[in-house]
Amino acid sequence: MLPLDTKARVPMSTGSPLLKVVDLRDFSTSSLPVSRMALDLRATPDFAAATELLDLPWGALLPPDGHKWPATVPWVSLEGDSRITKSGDVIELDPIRQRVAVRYRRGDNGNVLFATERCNSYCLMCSQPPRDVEDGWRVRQLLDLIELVDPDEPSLAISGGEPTLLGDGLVDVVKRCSETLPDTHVHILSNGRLRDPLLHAKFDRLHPNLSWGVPLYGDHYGLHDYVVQSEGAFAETLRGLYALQAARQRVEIRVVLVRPTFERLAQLARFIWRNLPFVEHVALMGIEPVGFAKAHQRELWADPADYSEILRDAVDILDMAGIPVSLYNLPLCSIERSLWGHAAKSISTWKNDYLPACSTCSVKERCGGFFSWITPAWTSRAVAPILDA
Amino acid sequence: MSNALMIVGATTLGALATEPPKGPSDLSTLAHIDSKYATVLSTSLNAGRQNLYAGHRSHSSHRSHSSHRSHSSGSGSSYRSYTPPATYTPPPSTYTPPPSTYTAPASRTRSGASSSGSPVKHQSLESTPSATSDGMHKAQTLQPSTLAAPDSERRDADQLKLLIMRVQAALYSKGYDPGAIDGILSPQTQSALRMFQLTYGIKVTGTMTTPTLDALGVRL
Repeated sequence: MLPLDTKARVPMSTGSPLLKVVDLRDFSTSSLPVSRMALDLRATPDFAAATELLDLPWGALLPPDGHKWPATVPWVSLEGDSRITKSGDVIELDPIRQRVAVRYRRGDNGNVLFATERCNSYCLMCSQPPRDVEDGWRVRQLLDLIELVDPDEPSLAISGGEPTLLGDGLVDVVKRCSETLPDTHVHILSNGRLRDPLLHAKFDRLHPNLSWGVPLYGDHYGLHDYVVQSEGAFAETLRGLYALQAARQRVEIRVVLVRPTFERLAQLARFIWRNLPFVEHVALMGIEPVGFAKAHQRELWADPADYSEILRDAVDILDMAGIPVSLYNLPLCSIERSLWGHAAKSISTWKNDYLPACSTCSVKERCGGFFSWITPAWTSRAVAPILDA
Repeated sequence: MSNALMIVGATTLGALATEPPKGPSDLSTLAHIDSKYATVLSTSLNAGRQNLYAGHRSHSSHRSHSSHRSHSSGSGSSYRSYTPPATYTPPPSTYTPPPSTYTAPASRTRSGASSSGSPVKHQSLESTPSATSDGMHKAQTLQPSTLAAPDSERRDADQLKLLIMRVQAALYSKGYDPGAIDGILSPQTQSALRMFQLTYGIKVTGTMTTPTLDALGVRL
């Protein structure tokens, strides 16, 4: 696990707070203006970096450890793990709090464009509890960030909060992605609730490689509305799913395996088969034990070892329907071997860890492991090293 | 103009260089043959771009290199020895126009309109599409006024310096030794360029020709 932000020495600056970290190689090939770059000299020997180089109007400079430069040079020094950022990343400088945050990490599997803190649902297990703040400024920042992402980045997620609350701002963000990063798959994590009947139609043919991940927690409104703690959500989400289908969008259904949902998972799978046959993928996901989930552990926790039959039934139904299905956030030792083929290494590297028990496991490399904030209360009793795979 | 410069550059270099490849050695012949089989991008990086710097060979020929951002004129000073300028010297307020032989680049004399007569603000001499799209801007850029010249000259010099630094950084990161990354096409940098060109089967000039920039991954 590598944190996403750190304390740092950050100069006061009037320039853009978002900067592309470049080493000498990336500097030489980049076509960005130097004012949008942070030159990383941490691995550059003394002789190479001449005063003339330092005097370019850099957004920032990262000196080698221990070096201090005059205040006329916009140098940034990071505390803690030096691997927190490397060439290719995008960092955000916060001179007020004297912090540096990594907004894009080259090579990471979980880069997110964070759309908003607001949400119109209030899910029992929300890992990113919403805040009712006016943060429309994020749209402009995302438009900036997108320009600094590697053009060969395979995949980005747009998440929040509820991204569709940005309205046309979300359309602008996706449009910018299609202009600047046409080869990057973009996945919007949205609750799908249809509020503005015209919004979803605007995504028709907007982007060459766009898909939506929409959660569904039950085959019945009572169950779904309970899990998302919002009356009418089930109906709105279904209308949203059909609006996305009408706008020719690719849709993935995401099911977090909280206990009430787990208990009716087979019925939910059948519901998807019958009513949402156009979905291109279903992800069945273990709970992330953070945020609101921690407050509702007793109501939500379901040990996959206790539900192995239901899990197999649900996967079988979706298989039969021809809908690809994956299992996220479920360690291999907690599920039947016949389901291993569906298990994905789904946890972003910055919050991914393994338990001491995993050290002797023979399938550790194939296994997604655990969220870094795992506690015994959220650990399946089936967790044990697999020695005979 | 750039072609003429390049030829002059190449011949002078052959005479001045510290370690010139004397004649077509076996190695460069081999590299030349090899280059036919080298992977070529379907569109080269700098295809369709005009390389005004291909002939540039040293810093001594340009007075404009003492740009406002480089208060230290010496090359190779490193950040260990970094000392802030004791006194900042602002750019000269009175500018002596370039020698009377100054001729505006051909691309700018094309439309031949006369000056609009409006007070000349600092206007870019670069004939960028955005600047020439507007009629008034066009008229202004046509008249290299005594005020506009130093700014654009400095900008050109800064552009060149930045390009040299990027070439030096590219050489450095590919394992060559261009010396300090200082934006000066020093003998050491030229030597590194020649080594690079030799290895990549590019015409050995010691200058920043377009094929060299393409191979280095440096965009014009």
